[in-house]
Amino acid sequence: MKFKLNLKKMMLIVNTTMVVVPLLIIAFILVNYARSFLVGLSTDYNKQVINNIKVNIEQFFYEPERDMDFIKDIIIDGDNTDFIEEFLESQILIQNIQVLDEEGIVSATYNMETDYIGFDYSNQDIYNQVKNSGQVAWSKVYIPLGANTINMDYVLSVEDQVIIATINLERLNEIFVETTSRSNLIVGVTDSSGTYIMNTDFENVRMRTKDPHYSGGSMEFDRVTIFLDEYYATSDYIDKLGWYIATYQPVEQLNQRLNYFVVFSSVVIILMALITMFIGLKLNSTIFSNLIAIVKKTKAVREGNYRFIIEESRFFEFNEISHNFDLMVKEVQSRQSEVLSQKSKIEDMNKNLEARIEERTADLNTSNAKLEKTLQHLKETQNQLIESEKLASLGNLVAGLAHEINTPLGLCLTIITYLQDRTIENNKKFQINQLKKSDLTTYFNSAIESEQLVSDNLHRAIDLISNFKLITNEQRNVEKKTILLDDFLLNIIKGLNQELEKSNITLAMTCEEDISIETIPLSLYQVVMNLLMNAKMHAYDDQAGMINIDASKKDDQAIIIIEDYGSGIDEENLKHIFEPFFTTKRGQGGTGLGLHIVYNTIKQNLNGNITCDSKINHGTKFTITLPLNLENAMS
Amino acid sequence: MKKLIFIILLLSLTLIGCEKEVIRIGVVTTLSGNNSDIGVSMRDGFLLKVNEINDAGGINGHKIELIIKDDEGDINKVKQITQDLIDQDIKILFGYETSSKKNAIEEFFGREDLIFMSPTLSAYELSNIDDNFFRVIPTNYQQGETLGHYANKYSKKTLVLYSQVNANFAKGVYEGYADTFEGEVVIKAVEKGILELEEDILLWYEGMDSLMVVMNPNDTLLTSQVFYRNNVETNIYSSNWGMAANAHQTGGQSIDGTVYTSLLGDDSYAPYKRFQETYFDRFNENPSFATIYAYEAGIIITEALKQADSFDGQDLKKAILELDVQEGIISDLKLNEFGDIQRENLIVKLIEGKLIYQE
Repeated sequence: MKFKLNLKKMMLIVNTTMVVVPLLIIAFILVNYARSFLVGLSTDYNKQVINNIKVNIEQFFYEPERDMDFIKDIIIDGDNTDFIEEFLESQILIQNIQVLDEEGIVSATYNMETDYIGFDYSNQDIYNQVKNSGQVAWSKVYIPLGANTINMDYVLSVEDQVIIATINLERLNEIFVETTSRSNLIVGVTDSSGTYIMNTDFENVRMRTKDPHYSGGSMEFDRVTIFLDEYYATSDYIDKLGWYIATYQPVEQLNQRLNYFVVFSSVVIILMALITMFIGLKLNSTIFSNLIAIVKKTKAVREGNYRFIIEESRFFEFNEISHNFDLMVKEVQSRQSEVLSQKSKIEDMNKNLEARIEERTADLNTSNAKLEKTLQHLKETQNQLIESEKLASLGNLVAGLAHEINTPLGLCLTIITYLQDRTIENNKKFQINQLKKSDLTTYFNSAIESEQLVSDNLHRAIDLISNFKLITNEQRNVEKKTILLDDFLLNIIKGLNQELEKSNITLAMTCEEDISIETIPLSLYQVVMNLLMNAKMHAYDDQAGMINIDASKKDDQAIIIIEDYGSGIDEENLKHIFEPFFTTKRGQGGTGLGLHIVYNTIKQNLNGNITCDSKINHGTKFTITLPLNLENAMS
Repeated sequence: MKKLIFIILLLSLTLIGCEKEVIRIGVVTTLSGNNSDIGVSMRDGFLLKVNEINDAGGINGHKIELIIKDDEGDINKVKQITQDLIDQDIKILFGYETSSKKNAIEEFFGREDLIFMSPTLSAYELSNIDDNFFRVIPTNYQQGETLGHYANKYSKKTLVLYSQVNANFAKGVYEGYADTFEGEVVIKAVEKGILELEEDILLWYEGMDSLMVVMNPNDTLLTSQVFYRNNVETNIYSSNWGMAANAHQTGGQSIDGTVYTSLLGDDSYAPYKRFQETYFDRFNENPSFATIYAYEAGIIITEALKQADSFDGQDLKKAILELDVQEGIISDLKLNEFGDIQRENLIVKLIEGKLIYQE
């Protein structure tokens, strides 16, 4: 059974799917790419922040380097203390200055307590570095004793002396805070040991916190965990100072942006989905109201109501359908009235037809009656013919018998006549005594011979009559009788021999001995005779030939086969040979009843069966099957 | 559909459930101001260890969170901060770098639900007490003893200058020194700035042949400057405090020849050498003793956390005391039944800016 679909539900599902699936795909793409997009955006922004800090730091250090380059010679002269003090007072960045002698011992200080004179820097790396190279260097960042400021020393060598200018990084930190305050990031600058010297959370500077991801002078990382919180990190290196700048953006912060983005996107997508679905549903509803209107119209037409109001649709297609449907309905209406009119005509015709049929039926009945009469007449005629044929065959028999008897009797008459003549002749001679012994001897010899001949011929005539008697007796007596089949057949053959010999037809018979059969001998005689005469006449056309009779017994049946090797019967004729009046010799003496009588006799009188096999130019074989006991078979 | 939602919810809950409880450890130390060197170094050493543990997946899946508090060198704040942390249900407290902080927290040592671990608080008064205080530094008294033994070879009369700010620590050291030193000992507390006391110091020193200082690195340096500036030759003996944060490296010739009790390790000891190299590679500077001790204390705490039945005070205490010998940085680590460590102090002498071990 096919699954029935509901177009409205189907359209609703398709409509919803077509809206929801693409939106889901868009949402999936948005959510998946939003993170990497936001991370990329943040990284770019963070790099920009780092770059700004880097520029600020480089600018910051330019000023003290320039000022110290200007004043270094004055400092070394050592005579212009007031000028140097004034210079330092005007400085925001340079806090104080120390001058080291050629052994690295503090020999002069400006803007700081003189107690530091005598401090020994000779073991410090930066002193040795500047002293040996003659170049300038920046020290590591340090927090001076008792202060919460971060300082650095700018160290430069002039002749064999070294000047240390202490720079307060407080201003730098202010610049740093200005640069980073709006970035919403954790930004830190570390010195070469990874310790923060600037940080958006100044506590990290004050407490000299090390960057947890600073390692071996490198800060290469993207995403890090500090304790339990995750951050996206970006970093850069200030080569000149050995400092690192790192930004940490809490993943949570980015997640919040992502969440905001996802929520916003979801709202937009859901709104889009709702609007699209609303429009879709509205459209569906309009389409379906039009469809339903059409369905109603079709239903109305189906119910035979052709009067409906054609509503104007907003859709061209529905108007077209409506219009076409309307035309269709009108056409249907017109055709219906035509059909109805035709129907009434047909009904009238039907009525006429019935009368005509009755009339014809009456005619047919009359014809039938006539036919039945004719048939009856025909049957009667057939029976008469059959009887005639039977009589004819009996006539033939009698004629044959007469002819057979006539021959010996004629001979006897001729011989007797001859003997009479001889007797009369010899008697005359005796009377006249002219009878000679030789005459008498001749007479006696002739008499003996004649008597013998007469005797023979008379015997023959007696035999013939005996046979005839036998047949005629049985013909009169149609009651069944038990006979020995071989004797019976032999008698028939004897009776026919002369007839057949005339045509040079040899008749041979093989028969099992002692086949005792209870049957109607006359009927059987007629059958065998007919078949033999048929063979003689049709198979050999009175020419030479051979006929075989074979009789045998099988179970409770006797089988008699009469077979010739003559012209045979073609296939078409073979089907009709037992039908009455079927003959190929019509006009040449054939009545077409011979084999019909044979068939009827065997079937009706002898309760047996007969079949015929034949092949053109090969001969014909009739097989007769008879019950051994007719009485049992009939009962 | 309902089934699917249910399965997703179940999975979510399972995943949420996978987040193991965080172990929170309070760190209380001085991170700003004049005496912040030890605190900063100590924090860095402990942080290093904790970060290593967290990066390796934590303690059996439990991450460690450090709540770091700066007491700004104010003893009152030490107590207040500690109390605040305890109120926040923090059971493990770390830091308290100097003996001066002993008085502020001593009252908590009896609490069985708490564990105190200090890498560097060496006050000998806390020795041989069955409490919840643990440390990996030898006592101050031991430092004094070590210096006394050494001074016996070179000195007869010693002026002891100690910082009143950290009198607790100083007391242990000079008492150990006095008990061991066979010569004469004069003990003076420094209650003002060294530069203000310069004349007093020189006065006190008259008739002495050696100076024993128990002061912070800067004051130790300034004191040596006083003697150097005034061309007064002396043998200076200093507690390990004087070389904290590697301050001795900036002293120059004035501090050359100073003898310290060193809490640092022997360079020939492989773990020590390895740690120094690794630390230098990473931070471009040498680790101070406080960094090393804090790292070692970190080893004890994290190993004990791994093996403790629970993170409660008593289970943790049991685990610390039953801990097998751990490989430390300076030496093997094994605390005795009172939570104190048994290890020898070394004597080092500053010669041309370098610390040379003394037999």
